[in-house]
Amino acid sequence: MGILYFLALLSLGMCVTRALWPGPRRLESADWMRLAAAGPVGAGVASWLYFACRLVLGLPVGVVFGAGGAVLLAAATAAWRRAEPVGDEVGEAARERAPGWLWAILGVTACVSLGAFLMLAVMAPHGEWDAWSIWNLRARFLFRGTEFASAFSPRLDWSHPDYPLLVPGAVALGWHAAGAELSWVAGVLQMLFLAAAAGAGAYTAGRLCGATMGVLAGCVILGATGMTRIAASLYADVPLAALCALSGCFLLLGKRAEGSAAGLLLLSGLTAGLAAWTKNEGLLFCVVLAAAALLPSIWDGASRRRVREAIWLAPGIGAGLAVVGHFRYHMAPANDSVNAGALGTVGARLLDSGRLWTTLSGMAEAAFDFGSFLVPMVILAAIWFALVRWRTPDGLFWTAALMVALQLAGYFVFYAGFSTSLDWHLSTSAERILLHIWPLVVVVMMLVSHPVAAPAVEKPVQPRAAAPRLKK
Amino acid sequence: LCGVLGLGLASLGTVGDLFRRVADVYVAAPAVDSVTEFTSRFDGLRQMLPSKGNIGYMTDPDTPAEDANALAEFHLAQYALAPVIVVRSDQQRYVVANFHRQVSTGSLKDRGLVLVREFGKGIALFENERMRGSGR
Repeated sequence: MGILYFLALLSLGMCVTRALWPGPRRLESADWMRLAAAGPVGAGVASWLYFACRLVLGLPVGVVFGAGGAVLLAAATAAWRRAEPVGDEVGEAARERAPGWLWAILGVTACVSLGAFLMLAVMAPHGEWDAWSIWNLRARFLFRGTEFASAFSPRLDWSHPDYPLLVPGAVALGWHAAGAELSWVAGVLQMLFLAAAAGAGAYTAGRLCGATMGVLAGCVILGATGMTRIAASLYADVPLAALCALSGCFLLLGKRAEGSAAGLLLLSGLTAGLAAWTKNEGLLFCVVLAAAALLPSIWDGASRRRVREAIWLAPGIGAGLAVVGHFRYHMAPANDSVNAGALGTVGARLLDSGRLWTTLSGMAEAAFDFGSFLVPMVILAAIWFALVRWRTPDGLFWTAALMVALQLAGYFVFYAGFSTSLDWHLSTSAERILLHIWPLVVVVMMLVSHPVAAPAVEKPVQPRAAAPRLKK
Repeated sequence: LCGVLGLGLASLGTVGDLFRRVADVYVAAPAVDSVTEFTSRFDGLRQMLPSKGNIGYMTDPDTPAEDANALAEFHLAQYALAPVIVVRSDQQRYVVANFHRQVSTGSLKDRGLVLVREFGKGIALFENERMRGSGR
């Protein structure tokens, strides 16, 4: 039943994605992106249903499965009815093929990464400290409990009972489906998110910059071994990274697309809303996404178009915020960071130059060590930019770069202004917060690099009727 | 293409290095992971507990409260005993003991703690007589 649960999650995610971003009834290349999104979207929607039916309404778990089935059916019907005769209109420029050897490198990188993940997961099936003291612990409370007040008791303040429930909810639902606490359920869920983080970045880079850059982006995203390690630790950071990547990538694809832009933007908002339901940092990402969609209007003057785009983001973000808001207001105790001081204290911390320097140097140090690359990633990136030609930054680049910069700025303000034990916070979480934006950083890298292999120019096909007749 | 090849190989090399390091640990890893091994000690106790409520927790006397291992064991005890809330204090009606060495029940009796049942491997359930009437 555990395997069926994951098949159902993937089907649910695929149908929701296809319903919002329609394609032809046959498979197309955009289905790679839909497949990448299927796991996270399916798990997120299932987790929302679990929260609404079980925790808010107190209904039996069977009702959650029934509601999931109904949503799947509705989404499948919508996807079928909305199917379009031609699809894949995003990024028509990307027609070149990546070299075979690069595909081979990506394939081997993915297999080796999977091998390392599996070994880590077998050695620590319950994950690392935060997994069994926060995420899996909460899943156990949800699965074993007959009431749910205990799961969010202030007595458990050391386990952050205010943290949102996408991961614990999806894991608990998987256990309900299997009828037992199968430890591999959390591991498979993490694998889906890891694949989504790499897949979304690779597909988007491929669509916007060419296949070679896309395949390379997949390699580089997985090359940050922290992705594999932290995923196997069963923390919520890789799920958050995947949802931020999906949301950012859908926004970029939506800006490039014409007919399907609304659906892509809806998906961008939906995945941002799910990010807010994954970790508190996801709330920041919702603000960042909206800002990245709107701010470019300051210099490109297309404010009406930007506002229209931002409106399509609103339903998904709103749904996410509504779920998080209900959870926070009715169930969860106050967040320890929110209690970390009055506005005056936070302001004073933000004006403390020593504290600002500690934060900046801590984050810079983490950036240097990031991903455990053989050569520090910062140096690798510098070599990369020295070897490739730079592209003139376009609107897509600025949107993606804004997402990365604003999210980093938000983290900086959080560390400097709210952390009560700054050194400890930086040493234990700086690498993980960089992971959240890593797939988007790679997309930005590809967007500013000149495509290595120029897209093949398609020969225009002359319609027969228009062919000129030669007269003797 | 040199840059593409270089960056691709650097990524592969990095993941390969992770694989090598993990494989080194994997071949020497015990058959049962430490979390499963530790939490399985609480299985017998868990069967006795209700589906909600609080239970106290104590470990070896003289263990510093800030000791990282002691903190990890407390968190793991909570992980094992959920959905009952484990409180790091003996000021509860029932208290689970997680001992690593012999402790005389006499010294515990002076604190009002009476042995209810021993589950082996250092796990025992005590009743705090001074907390009688304070609920579960």
